[in-house]
Formats: sequence, structure tokens, C-alpha cells
Amino acid sequence: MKVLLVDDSGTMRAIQKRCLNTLGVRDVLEAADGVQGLALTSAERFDIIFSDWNMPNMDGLTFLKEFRAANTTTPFIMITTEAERDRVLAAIQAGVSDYLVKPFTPDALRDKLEKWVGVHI
Amino acid sequence: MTTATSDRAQTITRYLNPIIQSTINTFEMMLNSSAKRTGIVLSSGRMEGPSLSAVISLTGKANGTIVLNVHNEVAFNVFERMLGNKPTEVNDEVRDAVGELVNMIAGGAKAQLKELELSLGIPNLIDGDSYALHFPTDMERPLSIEFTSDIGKFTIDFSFRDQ
Repeated sequence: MKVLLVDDSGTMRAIQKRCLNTLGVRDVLEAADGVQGLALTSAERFDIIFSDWNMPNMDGLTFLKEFRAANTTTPFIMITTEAERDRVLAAIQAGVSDYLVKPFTPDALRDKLEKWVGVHI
Repeated sequence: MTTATSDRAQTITRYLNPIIQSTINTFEMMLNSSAKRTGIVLSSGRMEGPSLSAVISLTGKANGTIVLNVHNEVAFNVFERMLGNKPTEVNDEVRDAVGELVNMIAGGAKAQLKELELSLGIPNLIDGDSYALHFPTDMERPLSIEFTSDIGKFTIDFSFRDQ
């Protein structure tokens, strides 16, 4: 399984990567913003993408829209503190697959993997 | 109680409970740590001894600031709980971890204050051996919520002004 983590916080990426490693997921690539995320998704194929919302250069919603213009199937999970109705609607319209609201537990991350990649860990 | 005092008390309560609840929740979920509120005092803004403060602004139908203050040792414990290894000095990674924590605390409080349509700023970090935080003079006088936890004591300072 290949996973892409997109977050401007190195700490948050490290936390997620640590969780994934604990679950046996080793093939994890990282990007610090939507621009880097798009560059990676144009070069590699991922089984699932976890992306922050608030990021410099290109935020998660713009990244999602740009990504969905080329790929409509790969699960795209938004990890964010933002969970208001308007934002949820905007993300749904842009093609988000699911949400993970910070703070979250390792179990919540595992649940999203199982739900969207269909792998029981 | 005068009307002005009563209004101020209501304003404080409006923000206080969401911030406390979000702090406890964030520590529980991200750090597996049980945080307990021990007191609420007027903030002096001063940090004595090697410390780190993460400051985040919230803007919308109210404007405010939330600050997480930790001594270095507590910051190291935060990092260790998040990432498994304990640092020995304050570096960019430690600042990033504490910044993420205040981001999540503010985000959780914001979610409980939906009617204010708040937006979060980017966390700013201050560290040093002794420093003072100054809030804008047109804000409510900042309060400091004191917490204890199994990774150490910390405080959350906050001030809000209704639009």
C-alpha cells in the first residue's frame, strides 16, 4: 500500500507516518503543501491520500480540486481542525472522500485506511 | 453585580468552557495524557525559566488569541508523547509540535463557538529563558487557565473581544 501525506507541519506528518508504520504501512511519501502534493501525484500512484486543509502555497481544498481534475478514484481524506458545515460542503463538492478531524487517535486513522483501502489491519 | 461586570463574566464563560474542554480533549487524544484544570487567574503574561509559548489568533465575529505556555521539559514530554523520542533542546521540531497542539486546541474551541464563524491563524512560537507576552490593550484582560497533567503543568492564556 502506498500512502501520500500532505501537511505543512513536519510533526503532523511524523505522527501520521508513525501511526502508519505501526499499522505495517511502510510505503509513505510526504509533501509539505499542495504544490508538492500535486507534483508527487503526477509522478506516482497512491492508494490513499491524507491531506491537511490549511497550508501555505496551495491549501488542501485547492490541492483536492486540482487532483480530482486528473484522478477521480483515489481516496482523498482531509485531515483538519476545520469541520464546519460550509467547509464540509465545499470539500464534498470538490470530491473529498472523507474527513479526519484533529485531534485524532491512531485508531481513527486505521479506521479510515480500512474503510477506504479495504485492508483490515 | 453590575451589568458591565455581568456582561464580562458571560463573555469569559462563553470562551472559557470551550477552551478548557478542547484542551482536555486534545491532550487525551494526541498525547494520551489526562489534563486537569487547577485554577483560573489573571494572566501576568510572564514566563520565567526556559519556556515555550505557542500563540494563535482567531478572527471572525469576535477576535481573540489563545496561548499555550509550557516549560521546556513539558515541551519535550509533549514531543515524546507525539513522536516517541525525547528531545534535549528546543528546536524547530519541538516548536512545530507545540504549535500543532495549540492549533488543535484552538480548532476544538472554535468548533464549539460555531456562531462566531472564527478562522484560525497560523501558530507563532516564542521561546527563551524569560519573556513577557503582551495582549492588545483593546482586548479583554487576558486570563490564564492553569492545568496539571501527567506530563507536567502548563497554562492556557486567552483573551477575546466581541465585535
